[in-house]
Amino acid sequence: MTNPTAFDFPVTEVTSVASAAELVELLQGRDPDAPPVRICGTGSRQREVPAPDRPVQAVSLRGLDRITRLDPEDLTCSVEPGLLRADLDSALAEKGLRLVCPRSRGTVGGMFALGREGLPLAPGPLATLGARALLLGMSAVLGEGVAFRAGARVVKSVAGFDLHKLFVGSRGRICAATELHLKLRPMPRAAETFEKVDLEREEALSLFRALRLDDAPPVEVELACQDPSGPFRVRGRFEGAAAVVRSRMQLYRLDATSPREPANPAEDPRERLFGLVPPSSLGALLATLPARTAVWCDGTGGFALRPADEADANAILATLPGVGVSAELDLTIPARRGLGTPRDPGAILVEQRLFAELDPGKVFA
Amino acid sequence: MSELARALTAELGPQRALTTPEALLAYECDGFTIHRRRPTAVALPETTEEVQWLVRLCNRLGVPFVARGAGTCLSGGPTPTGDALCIETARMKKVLHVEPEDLYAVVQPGVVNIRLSEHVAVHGLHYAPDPSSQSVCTIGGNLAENSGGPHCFKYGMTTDHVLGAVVVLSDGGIAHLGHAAGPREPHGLDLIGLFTGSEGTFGIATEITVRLSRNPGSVRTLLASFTSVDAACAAVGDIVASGLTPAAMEILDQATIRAVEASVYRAGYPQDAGAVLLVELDGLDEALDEEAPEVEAMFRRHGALRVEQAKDAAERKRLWKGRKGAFGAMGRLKPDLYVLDGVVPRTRLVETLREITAIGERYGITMSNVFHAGDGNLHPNISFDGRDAEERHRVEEAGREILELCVRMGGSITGEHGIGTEKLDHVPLMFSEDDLDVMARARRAFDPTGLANPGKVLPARSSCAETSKWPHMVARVLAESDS
Ligand SMILES: Cc1cc2nc3c(=O)[nH]c(=O)nc-3n(C[C@H](O)[C@H](O)[C@H](O)COP(=O)(O)OP(=O)(O)OC[C@H]3O[C@@H](n4cnc5c(N)ncnc54)[C@H](O)[C@@H]3O)c2cc1C
Repeated sequence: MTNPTAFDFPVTEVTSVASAAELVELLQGRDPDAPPVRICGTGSRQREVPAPDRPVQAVSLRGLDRITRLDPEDLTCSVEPGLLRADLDSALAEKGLRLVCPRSRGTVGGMFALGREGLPLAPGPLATLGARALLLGMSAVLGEGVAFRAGARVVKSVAGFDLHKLFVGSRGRICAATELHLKLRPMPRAAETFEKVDLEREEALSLFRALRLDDAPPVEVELACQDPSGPFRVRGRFEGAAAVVRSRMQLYRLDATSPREPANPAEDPRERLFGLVPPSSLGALLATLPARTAVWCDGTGGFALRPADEADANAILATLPGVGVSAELDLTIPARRGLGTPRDPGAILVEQRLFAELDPGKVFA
Repeated sequence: MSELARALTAELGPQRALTTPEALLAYECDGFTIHRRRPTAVALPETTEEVQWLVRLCNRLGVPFVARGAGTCLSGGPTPTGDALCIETARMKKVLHVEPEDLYAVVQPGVVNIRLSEHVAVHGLHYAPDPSSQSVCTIGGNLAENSGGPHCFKYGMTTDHVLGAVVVLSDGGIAHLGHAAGPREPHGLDLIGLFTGSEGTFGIATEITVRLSRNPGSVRTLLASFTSVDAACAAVGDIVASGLTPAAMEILDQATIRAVEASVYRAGYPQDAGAVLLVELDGLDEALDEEAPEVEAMFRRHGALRVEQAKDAAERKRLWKGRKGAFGAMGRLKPDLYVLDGVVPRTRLVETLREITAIGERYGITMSNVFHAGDGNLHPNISFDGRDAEERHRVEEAGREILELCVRMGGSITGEHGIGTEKLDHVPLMFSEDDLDVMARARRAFDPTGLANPGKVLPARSSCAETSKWPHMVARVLAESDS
């Protein structure tokens, strides 16, 4: 079920649909003067996307929760968007398979539409390319109620334009996906999670760098602190051949720890800046941050900052472009959500044209 | 001299503005030789500003433009469909910036794929997508086609390795797509993801930011020969099921082996074998020491006639030489070669290949198969004489049936070579009129003037409405495929 308390913006009603056909019917039969539609899953991550500027009708796809196809030998499956990521992981694990991107809360559709897990985790082979590389194709519905498909179900296809790529990170503004075709991988032969705590800044940065640039880098690595002056924590996960996992743990003198459940960033009351930083600029970024800013950074450029207050967030936002960083505010009050670093005007123009072409009636908010 | 030719010559000079019929002859087709059409003129810009100037000129004169890299495309992508200015990137060959710490490089579109890997080798890095044409094809062409290659089973396609691009749009505007630290900014759409694979119809990329990969610590290359393609496919199935992810798994059938062995690409493949399977493992020695014997055991379980493991770089090169030269070897059998490119779920390779053989026999054509077995990406190669209209017709019909078969198996009409003009009529096998209409709308956002490489990827509205020229076939395939 969608949690009605998940919304911190005005919602006129929450409507649930149980099939793609129902969604098409709902959108086609919509009164053009009706409030715009906000597509949602469980609603658990609504505070991570900009709030609508008008009251909306929330349309929940949580009822579309089937695994419609699972071909273990072809390493592909198709799922409906309302399926919980945790349920997908369990079903895949039974077959010795998995989706190679960090576990996340909420639905699979929400995960792709948000695109946060789409950030690559570590350089190198496919095992580390992130969610974006795992979406092979989709069925979806435009705001006017037109159903369409893009991509394919097989692991490789370049037929037609990759509209499914556009869905990743689109936050329900382009289309509502009704089926997603995914690429799977076998469970790793060996895996080990590690964590080093209480590190000095330079020590942490140099371990982080060495891990990122290792010949067999961890599939996940993150550097975090509650204050830019430290102490720092480096956490990550090696996967692959047992001998390699063992040798890397020894080489870096790492202790094994247990994997953790996906965190719920919304539990922290502070607003967050979420974005991209070239990893080599991380030191420069840390140097610009005010005290009491919490930092989290992954191996290939994804980062999140928790400034102590709104004034600090504004100050940081103003300095970010100078260090080659692109970022946006989330988990804050609706009026501030979506504030971010300046973007290229040409890219903005193309986006505006895309919205005008694909959702001319401005149905999706 | 036309106004276009006059303006080009005045701006770029005769060396960089080609307008004579003789000079234009070289641009009348790409690797898909069935479709030929000379462009009105060819321009060779060197900078983003010059490309922008050319596109604005096209706008003023109402002339379409077609970007061209090395012209190795196998689906007609850089061949014009009517009057058009060909904008060739041969003089945009600079590697602009390399950031070894952040594992990316910024390049001009005319940089040849393999040159980029050579350029960054000093840092222990390479550019992962490796089409077999990599010694010639350009990064711009790779981006536009979303090219693959033998190593994409493990490393992914071009789209997984492109972070951003500067693009000249068809109205002369410039857009910077993506970011050096990731393809999509947190508050933006994945525009570079959509641009990749758009086959020159979304504008011209003039600077491309690509992800670099670290060179693997070690590589093991194994070649096994089998009595049949079926046995080689079964071995691939076992390898995948075991949880190993080899960097590459390539199969060549007997006809290809024989063609290769009779050519300059001779690699010492056993000519009596029904198929050879080339498997490459990469990573650290401690893993490969376990994995290589495991793979060898799987080969033996499926009745491998002979197993070879490259002992050094020279042997590795030899084993790959036959695979990389397969198209070239087949091309020597007859004046023309039609390289098909379909995908099926990997588990349906064997039955698909059987049917392909039957199709070949029915049409009386010379055919061979070389394919990316890990991805189920087939390349049936048909050698023919394009001057013989009747033979050409049989070849086209066989090709159509093969792609129809791929879709019926739940696959795709192209895994890496693109639609171009070659597969326009097959697009409705995979996509409905509504699907194509949505794609056309997305395209207009990048190409509002309709001047960017018209006539490619999406069938013309009318043929789309008629569901292509084989309406019955389309209806049947759509009904039979469970996609
Ligand atoms: C022997 C042989 C082997 C091959 N092996 C493979 C393989 O293993 N895998 C594979 O995927 N392909 C393969 N190909 C196909 C071909 O090499 C690829 O499609 C390649 O990416 C084309 O690059 P190019 O520079 O030749 O581009 P071109 O053929 O010149 O152009 C291809 C398309 O890109 C567009 N384009 C070119 N530059 C730009 C730009 N700067 N901006 C926008 N659009 C642009 C053109 O308009 C055209 O539509 C092979 C071809 C041959 C002949």
